Amino acid sequence: MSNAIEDEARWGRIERIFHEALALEPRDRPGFVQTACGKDENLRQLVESLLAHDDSFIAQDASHGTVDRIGPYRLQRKLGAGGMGEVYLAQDTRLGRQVAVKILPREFSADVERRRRFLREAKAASALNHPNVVTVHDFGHEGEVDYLVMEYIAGRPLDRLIPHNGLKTREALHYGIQIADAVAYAHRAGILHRDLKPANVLVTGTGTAKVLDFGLAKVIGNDHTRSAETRDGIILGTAAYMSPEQAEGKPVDARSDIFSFGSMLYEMVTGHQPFHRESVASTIAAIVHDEPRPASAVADDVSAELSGVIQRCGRKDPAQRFGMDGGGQSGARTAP
Amino acid sequence: MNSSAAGEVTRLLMAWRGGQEEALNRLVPMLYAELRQAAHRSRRRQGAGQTLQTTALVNEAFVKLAQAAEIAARDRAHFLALCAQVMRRILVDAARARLSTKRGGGAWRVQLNENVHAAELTPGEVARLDDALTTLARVDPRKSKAIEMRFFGGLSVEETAQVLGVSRETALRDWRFARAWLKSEMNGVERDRR
Repeated sequence: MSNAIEDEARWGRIERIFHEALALEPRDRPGFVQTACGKDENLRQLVESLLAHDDSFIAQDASHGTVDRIGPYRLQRKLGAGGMGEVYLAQDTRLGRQVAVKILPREFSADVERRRRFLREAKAASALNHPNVVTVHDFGHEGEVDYLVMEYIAGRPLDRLIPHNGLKTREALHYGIQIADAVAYAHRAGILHRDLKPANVLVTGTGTAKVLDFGLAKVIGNDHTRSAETRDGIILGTAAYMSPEQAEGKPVDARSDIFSFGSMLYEMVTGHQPFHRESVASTIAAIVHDEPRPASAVADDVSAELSGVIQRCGRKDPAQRFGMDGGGQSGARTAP
Repeated sequence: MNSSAAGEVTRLLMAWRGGQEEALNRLVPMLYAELRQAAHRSRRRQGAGQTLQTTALVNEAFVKLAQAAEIAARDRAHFLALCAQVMRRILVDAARARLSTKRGGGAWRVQLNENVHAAELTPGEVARLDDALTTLARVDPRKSKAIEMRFFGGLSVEETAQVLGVSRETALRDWRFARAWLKSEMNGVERDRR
């Protein structure tokens, strides 16, 4: 083998064939290499040996979004990035199916306690099986990096679908009911979401809503190591949908999710977050103390009934809110 | 490192930054001493079955030196590349010394970090990696350098590209090809020995 690279021209040729082969689907590679090497049997063996060793280490650096493989998952392209890490479209090389792989921030993986909590939540979330919940398939680590494998949904986050003046009531309810179904189902299974917000809902081309990150978002999302500016942005994004009890750091139960659901529904129909303020502190203060203008007063086409349902979800006192397995869900269903 | 030595490192780094290449020749022995000490401290911390983590060692030395020298961001990669070169020498010397003793290396391991993945190498593997890198350097010095920087210095793809004066894409391609070649080469040597 060593002898082969003493010749620079040959070395260059090997490299070219290697990269050209890698650009192809794995099944097309042997045929391509055969053709490219012609009668040069030695060359073919060299290239094949190189291709066989291509995946022996992870190629690149996760923190820069250029890893090409993690565990048995071949990463294909980046779907998005945020405070919770980067998400890739990937292929499960064993089952052949497409999945979404979320690579968690390194700071997260270094925190033993958070990691332990995350593992517990991931285990619980993986038991959820519902058409409106993004399924958790797997969790693993490679080197210093933790990753989460989920069902791949070709869809757009709900927050990007809401226009400035809100969705049409019918469309908002279409999503709202599905989200309520998912949340009610998870609650029956004993799992809270804790971070319901439009960005955590994916909507497919056919209008199916899928809720992401049950129980997981809060565990990962609380990222202390980012710059103050980013951190403020992340908290602000999440704070807008917090329940009063969350904002005050009190223990939460299923009714906290109901509050966040109400805030989402409010935004869907009006285009405005009910507690939108300029800073995290004033947003939190507003969640705890202020009553938003009724949705029907903000947007003309919102019925008094629907507005009432949203208000019942958004009561400051958890005991006064709709229950998801009762009122909230059927309330949303019958409201228009 | 005592304060006068740190001062000397600072002076040499400044000179190097100022374009005096010969400062490098004086700097390397000082880096050598500092990196060796870092390796020694790591060994003491970890006891008998120790694993030397190249990136951690280089970082430890870097932090000490960089604090004193106030290295500019653009010099950081070049300085780390230098550390990688020195670290390779230290670890390879240590691996070969282990191999020449009857114990044949025992539980001693070197952990090569390439950020995401960490590979633990036995003294024999470290020596074979060194041989392979030397072979590679004869026909393709840039790729050999890139591997050295990433394995022994923990440089990122971006930093590697910066030091080598190539685009990030080229650095990635180089890296992927060289890595496959190294693995193939090291496996081949292993097979030949059996």
